[in-house]
Amino acid sequence: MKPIAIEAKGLKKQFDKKVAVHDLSLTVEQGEFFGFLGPNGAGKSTTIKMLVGLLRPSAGTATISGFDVWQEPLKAKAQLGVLPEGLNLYERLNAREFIRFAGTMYGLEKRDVDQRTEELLALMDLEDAAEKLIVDYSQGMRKKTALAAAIIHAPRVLFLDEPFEGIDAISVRAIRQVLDRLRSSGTTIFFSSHILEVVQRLCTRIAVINEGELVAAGTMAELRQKAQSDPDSTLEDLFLKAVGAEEKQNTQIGELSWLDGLPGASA
Amino acid sequence: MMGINTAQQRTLFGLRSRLLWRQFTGEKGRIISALIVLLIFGPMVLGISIASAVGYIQLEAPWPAQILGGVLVLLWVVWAVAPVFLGPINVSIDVSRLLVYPVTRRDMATAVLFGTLLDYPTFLVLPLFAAIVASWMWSLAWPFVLLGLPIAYLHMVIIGQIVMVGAGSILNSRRFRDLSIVVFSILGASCYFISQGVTRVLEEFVDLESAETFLLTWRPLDQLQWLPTGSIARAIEQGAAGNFGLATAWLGYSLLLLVGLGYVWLVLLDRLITGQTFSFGQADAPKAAKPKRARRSFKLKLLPEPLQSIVLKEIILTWRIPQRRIGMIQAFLLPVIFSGIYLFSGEFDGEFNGRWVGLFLIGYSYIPTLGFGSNTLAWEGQGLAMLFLTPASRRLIFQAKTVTSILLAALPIAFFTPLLFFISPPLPLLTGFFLALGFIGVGTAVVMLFSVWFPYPVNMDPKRPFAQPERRGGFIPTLMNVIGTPLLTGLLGIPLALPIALVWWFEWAWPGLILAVICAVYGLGVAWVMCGPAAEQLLKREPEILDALRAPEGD
Ligand SMILES: Nc1ncnc2c1ncn2[C@@H]1O[C@H](COP(=O)(O)OP(=O)(O)OP(=O)(O)O)[C@@H](O)[C@H]1O
Ligand SMILES: [Mg+2]
Repeated sequence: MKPIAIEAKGLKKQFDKKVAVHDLSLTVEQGEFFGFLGPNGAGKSTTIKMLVGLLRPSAGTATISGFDVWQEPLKAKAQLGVLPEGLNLYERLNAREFIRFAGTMYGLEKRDVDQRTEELLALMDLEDAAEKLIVDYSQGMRKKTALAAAIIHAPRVLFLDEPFEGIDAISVRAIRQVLDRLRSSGTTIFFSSHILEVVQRLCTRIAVINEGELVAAGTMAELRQKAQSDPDSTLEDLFLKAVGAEEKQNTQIGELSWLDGLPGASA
Repeated sequence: MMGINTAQQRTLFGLRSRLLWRQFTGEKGRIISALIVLLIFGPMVLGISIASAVGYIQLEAPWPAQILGGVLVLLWVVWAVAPVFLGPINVSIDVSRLLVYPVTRRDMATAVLFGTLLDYPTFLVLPLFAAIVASWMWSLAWPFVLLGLPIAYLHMVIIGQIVMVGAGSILNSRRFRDLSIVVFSILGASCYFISQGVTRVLEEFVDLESAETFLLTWRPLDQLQWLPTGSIARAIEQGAAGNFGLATAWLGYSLLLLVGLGYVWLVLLDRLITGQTFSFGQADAPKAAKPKRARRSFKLKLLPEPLQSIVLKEIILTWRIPQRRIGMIQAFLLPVIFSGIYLFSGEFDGEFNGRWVGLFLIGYSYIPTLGFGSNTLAWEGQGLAMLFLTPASRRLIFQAKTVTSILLAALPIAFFTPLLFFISPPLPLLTGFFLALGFIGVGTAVVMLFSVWFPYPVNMDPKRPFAQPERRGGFIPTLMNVIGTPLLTGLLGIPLALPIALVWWFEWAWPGLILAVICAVYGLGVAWVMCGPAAEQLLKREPEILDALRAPEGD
């Protein structure tokens, strides 16, 4: 068995009365490409924040490459690269300064920092914008900047919260190539996304969370087996089934009858 | 009304009143800041209203009309510049928010007119208008008051709108907002200085008697009457004197201007709706990318990496975040202003005991120390979470922050000290310089620790620079920052009292100076050592700090 890269045991988060994540346990092996799915508000970002040490769990433990995130935070963080939901950029730095700063903070040598920064800027197509302050960036540019900063130290474990949402097709392809490279060099990637097609294509294993609870986990084949679906059902079918949205959606869409019959539209 | 979408209007008005209501009922912090605003501006506005009423009733002609003109024109000017300050926080002034909906130009204009009835500037207008009504309604001018004030009000709304829509793209550009924060705060800080300077110059160079005759014969309304609201003052004055023809003419003139300006506004609105925004040059035009090498001052090279990188980032950010840049500028400006106030206040009688300058230096050093060091984690903004995600040594982070804070706070002290040799004997001044360094060290140590224990949210929103942060620190953090910080600083600073006593009490200059040098080392040492406990605390409290500073969700 391969070493375990990410382990969550009984993770729970309660905000006032709202239980955002309830008793969540999962393990991800080294080198896996792990997809984390769930409807809006399911608790994906909350889980990721607890796993990387940004949000203190109400109960449970999180371990990264054998280091407890809450007992040995700095050792755990040295293994990590994170693209958080909020991106967390220094708005008044420019992309070059920001990526450089990140590299330095992850303990890289100055020569490496400089070289990798330029390569990442080129990869993300940010060279032209590199002198502008991040506060003036578009949403996609911000995400690419944050992503570059998250991978500059070639982390062993990479957490990505919706990395592809809001990014143009050219950059998506570039980022996917980078992720492939990272994975083939043994990086574990844990990522949440709503683009199921990409998840299906990239991930070796997938977990689905709904209303704070893990409702399914496994490889595509295992998910199909558990759901007793036919062998070529898509991830979308499985996802909708797992979160119990299949029937609900079908009945509800029937009620929006006023959406039909736009003036001038042919029946 | 024909062509007005009443359902839309009702919704918009309802939205506006709900937002206004929420200002007072939302969080506890909100109502307190609303009360503070009320406490500051309320008496001011009431005072002006009462004073103007007394002027209208008590003074002899032509003064009542002159004052009336002054008040009306002042209000008009306030409304014209209001968008610069209020635009982004003020829903009804900013029509661009309605652009996504199918709202016609006419509906937009109507919504603005009704919406402004519930805005802050209107609350300023009401008492002043009440004073006008109370004083002038009993004269022959009453019809002109009844007609004139609504016209004046429309003039104010419309000029604000023209500025808002016309210069919207500039007002909304980040660069302009950044600049306005800095300019306004500097103007604010030097306000007293400027006014003192002006009076002083007037006293020096203007012959008093001719100034008096000038003031007595000065009739500002002669010029102001040509402005939209100034002409209404003229109309009311003429009406009161029984010259109804002239009064009607002035009112007609104002009405004509209203129609003209109203037309300009509608044209601008039309352009806004159809997307041809009126702009003076492109806002935030991206600078042509020019490859720049990172500038690093040679002094920083003395520091080892990664300390050097973090210090560099701290300095860059302190300069680039406008709310912080103010601090940097004021650190140099305030002493000039202080001495200006002292010189102009009449306390200065030519005989000046320079021995005390050194002592002043020590006290002054606390201002930049607080400015650059306190709540330092909050000023990381969004980036704080990124910092916490890295495995960088927390002690190193605090060492960098401490070095930066001390450097920046010491900069104005180092700048002024050589100049002060001209007015102060050297030994007490040097003692003051070293003690200031020590005090900066001690003060920095305390604020660093408190930034971990009691962080509070700050407003870094480039779009709403003048707004209060949406969330505030709780009661305990505020209390601790206000009282705990100076208390602990004083405690740690006790050793500094010895050289102070020696030099300024016993007048033993040399022993005092030597002790002061030791105190400087002590203070800087305390700051350096404190990085340890601060880092330890930080590591324990990172998620809680993020939570305390969490940016509110967008509106
Ligand atoms: N700081 C907070 N305070 C209170 N409730 C919170 C907080 N953060 C998250 N929640 C709640 O926790 C739940 C899970 O939120 P989370 O952000 O993890 O969802 P998500 O799965 O990432 O959704 P999305 O796909 O929209 O990003 C939501 O109901 C949300 O309202
Ligand atoms: Mg999320």
